[in-house]
Parts: sequence; structure tokens; C-alpha cells
Amino acid sequence: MGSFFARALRLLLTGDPEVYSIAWTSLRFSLVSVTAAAVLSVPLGVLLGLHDFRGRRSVLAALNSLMALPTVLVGLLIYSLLSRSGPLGSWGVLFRPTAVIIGQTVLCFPIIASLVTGSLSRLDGNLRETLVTLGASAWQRLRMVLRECRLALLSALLAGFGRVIGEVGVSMMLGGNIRFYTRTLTTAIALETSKGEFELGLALGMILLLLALTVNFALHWMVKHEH
Amino acid sequence: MSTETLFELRKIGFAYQEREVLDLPSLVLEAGAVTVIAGPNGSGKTTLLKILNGLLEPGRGEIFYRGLPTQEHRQALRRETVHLHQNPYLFEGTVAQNLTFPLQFRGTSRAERKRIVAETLEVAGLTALGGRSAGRLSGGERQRVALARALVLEPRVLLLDEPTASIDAASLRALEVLLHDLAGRGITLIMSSHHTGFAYRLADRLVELDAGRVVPTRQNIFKGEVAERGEGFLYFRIAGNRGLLRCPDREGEFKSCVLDEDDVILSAEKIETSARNRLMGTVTAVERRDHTVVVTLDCGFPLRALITESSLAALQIRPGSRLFAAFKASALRLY
Repeated sequence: MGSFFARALRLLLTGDPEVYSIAWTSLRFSLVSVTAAAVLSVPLGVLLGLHDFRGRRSVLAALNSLMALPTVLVGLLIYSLLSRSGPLGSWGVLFRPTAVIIGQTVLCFPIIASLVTGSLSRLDGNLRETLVTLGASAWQRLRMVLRECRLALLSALLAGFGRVIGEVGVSMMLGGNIRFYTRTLTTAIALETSKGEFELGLALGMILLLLALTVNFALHWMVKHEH
Repeated sequence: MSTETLFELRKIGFAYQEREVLDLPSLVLEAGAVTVIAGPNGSGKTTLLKILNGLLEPGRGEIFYRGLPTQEHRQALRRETVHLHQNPYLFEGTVAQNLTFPLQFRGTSRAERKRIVAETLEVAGLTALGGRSAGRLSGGERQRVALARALVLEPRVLLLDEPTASIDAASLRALEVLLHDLAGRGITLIMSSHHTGFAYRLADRLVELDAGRVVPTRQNIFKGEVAERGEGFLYFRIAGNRGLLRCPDREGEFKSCVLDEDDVILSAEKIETSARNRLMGTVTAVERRDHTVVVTLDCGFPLRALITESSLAALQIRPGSRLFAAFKASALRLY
């Protein structure tokens, strides 16, 4: 085990350009897809968490079901849409970063939306009345509600990030594992292990773990020290 | 005390899931007074306070705030009244931050916010807690912070829902002093409370609710102070030097003296009794209540007595009649 760590450290410290490229690609795809998913899922979570309307339960049930969607199936579905013969084939994004980001966005969207909904539904009922009685406008109320559950929001984003940084199905099917282009840590690990480069695969796994933990700690530190 | 009408409620009704919890044909609340809304759990106190602040819309009826219908003048109501929940929600952050947010909502400048927050913390006796996290406060401290947070908005009216709930004796005393001070500055306080002593010490007027309806209050509440002690008695002077009541001597400072209406005995002529409080007054009002009659006498201060229809007839009581009133010292309760 020590040798894997040593190799992983050596790969990082010696500035191996390919390893850096793979790690950066993984991080970039994950951050962009989580951001894109957040833009779409946080408003949906706010809507579902703070308002009651007809069909709300059905949307929640659908989101909860989509959370368990296998990554390969998401990859396959989006592949069928983006492939040359598919309805979105004219976009020409298959085996490009955009395709991976679209797939990863679809993957983490239900997780973030569902967790945001849950955290907003559990908010203290007095919060809304407190904000109203203190004269907050509708926009100020929304901002304060998001502020009050920012730790839960962060957890939702991190859960989404965790889902996409470690997935292999979407990246492999939609990105094609192209060297210096769409190769991510997970697809590289799969490739190296299949080639018998078990040590390198594990070393890349260590880097993946390090990356995920660093992002987690960094975000938590930012929230804790915001004041 | 001002007698300007602050809230006027007409035919107000409110139902939760088709169960009517409030039915108020008419209710007037005065400005500048401390009104305590009393009643058992589920009597509609919380609902009434929320309706007064516009947090709940009544199912029917009209509410006028300073003579204006609230539905059309919501802005004035919102700017001048603040509601405090019995378990106040404090925002994440420090006590000072909690006081800053309402000012931010109003667009107050940063320098002004800083000044107002510092001043309000001092008024509320919370300066030492300014930098403390709101999550680390006791129940009593939370109530005072919530009150201070409301005060930064300089409200005319504070609507307090059970401010004494889940706070210790020391916090209760501090809260009472603060509320007394606010009432002295002319802020109208309308609150619900289960704490009898707290309610009587602060209240200028008691509104009793039962099953969503206003029921007649059966007590005379006299505001004043202890004038002197002697011969085993405590002499309670009614505010404005309008009368002196003889009460059993007890240690402590008291601000209110309470007398049940049915402890007052009326007579047409002066009679010798064991009652240590004997007064003479002129009847100002005769009001029928179910099968009884409430007679209000002007004895230098208003005194209400509950009698039967037959007593009313026997004594030939009518407005303007001169009567004698008597009640025992032990019937007076000091708060």
C-alpha cells in the first residue's frame, strides 16, 4: 500500500503533465456539471421545499427515483440523444467535454434538487413569519432562507460533486476517454487497470480521493470562516 | 394613558381546517396601553396576535389599524408593528448580526445600522452578548434578543406571543423591566401570557379569550404602588392618587392590585362589616351579563361589582345612584 502512496505522491510532486491533465479534467468536468446542475436544481428545490402545489408529490417521487439512476444507463440514454443519428446529433458534441458535462449534470441534478427540497422543508416554520414581521421583501426572504440553510445547500452540492467525480459510466460513454481531452481520473483508472497497470490505477485512485477530500474540506472551511 | 383606538376588529372569524378558532364580533384595542390577552391553550390567542400583524388573513371580517382598513394599508401595519413568536427564531450568526438584518431589509446605511444596533443592545442590556453566537443563548436571552431585534425597527406596536414561555425567573424579571420601560416610552404592547403575575403587573387591560370568543373579565385591576405599611396592612395607592386600598401586608414591591368583581359587596346605606375597605361611589354603568349584572361605580377610580338581578332591583340601582361598596383586605391580590 505504501508503494502506491509513494507512486501517487511521486506522480503529483514530479509534475507529470498527463496526471495533472487527467486530474484537472476530472475536477473541471465535475465543478462545471455541479454548477450547471445547481443553477437548475436549487430553484426547483426552493419551489418544492417552500411551496405546496398540485403535482408536488409526483415531482418529488420522480426526483427520488432518479437519484438511483445507474450512471451507465444515463450515459446510454444521452448517447442515444447525442449520437450522430440521435435527435441532438446535429450539436456534434459527442466525445467532447460538453457531452460529459451534460451527462454529469443530469446525474447530479436529482440529488441536489432532492436534498435542497428536504433541507428547506425541514426549516423552522417560524423563519418565514419572522422574516415577514421584520419587513423583509420576497427577494430578501428568499436570500435569508438560503443563507439559513447554506450548510445543507453545501452538503447537497458536495453530494452532487461526490456523485460525478467518482462516476465512470457517463465519462466513458460520452467522453470516449480521449487522452489529454476527455480522459478523467475514473476512466484512466479503468484503462490502466485493464492494461494490467494496477499500481498506476491505484495511484490515480489515491489522487482521486485526495481531490475529493480537498474540495470537501475547502468548501466546509469557506462556510465555517465566512464571517 | 392614551385612549386612541389602535386596532378595531369587526366580525372577525378564522378557521383552521374548517374548525373555527376565532369569532370576534367586535374588539377594540387602545394605543399606548399594555393589553394582555389571557385564556387557556387553544383559545385563539396566538391566532389573534398573528392576525393583528397580518401574518394570518382572517377568514371573514374587517380590521382597522389607526382607522385604516389593514387589507388596503398593509404597508403601514408592517412598518409599525412587529410580532414576536413564543419560540423566537434567531438567525445564524451573532446577536449583533441578528439586530442588523431588519435594518438591512429597510435599506439603512451601514454607519446608521452600527449606531442603532449598539444603542439597542444597550437599551436591552445585551451589550455584553453582542458578539455571542445566537445559537448559544439561553431561553430568556433568546427572548430578549428577539425583542431587541424588533426594537431596532422602532415599532409603535409590539405583539408578543407568550414572551414568558420557557424562561427562568431572572430572565422573567429582566424581560418585565424591559417591557415596563418600553410601555413607559409609549410603545403599545399587546401580548398573551400564561404567567398571571407577569400579566397583572404589566397589564393596563386584560382581554380574556375562551374557545375563540372574548369572555368578560371578572377582575378589577388597579395599577399603582405601595404607599405605606402599618397595623398589619399594606396600603396600595392607585395611580394618580385616586384611592388607597388596604391589603394584607406582604414583603415586596407591587405594581398591581387585583380584586374579583364578585368580592365587592354593595349597599344602599353605610353598614358595619368586617371588610377593611369601605368606599362610596356613584354608579356610572349597569351592564347585564348572562343572569348577573355588573355595576360600575366611580369611587375616585372605577370599581366593578358583580351582583344578581334581584339585588339590582332591591337596591334600585341605576346610573347616578350613590352606593357604598365594601370588600375584605384579603380579597385583594398584589402583583
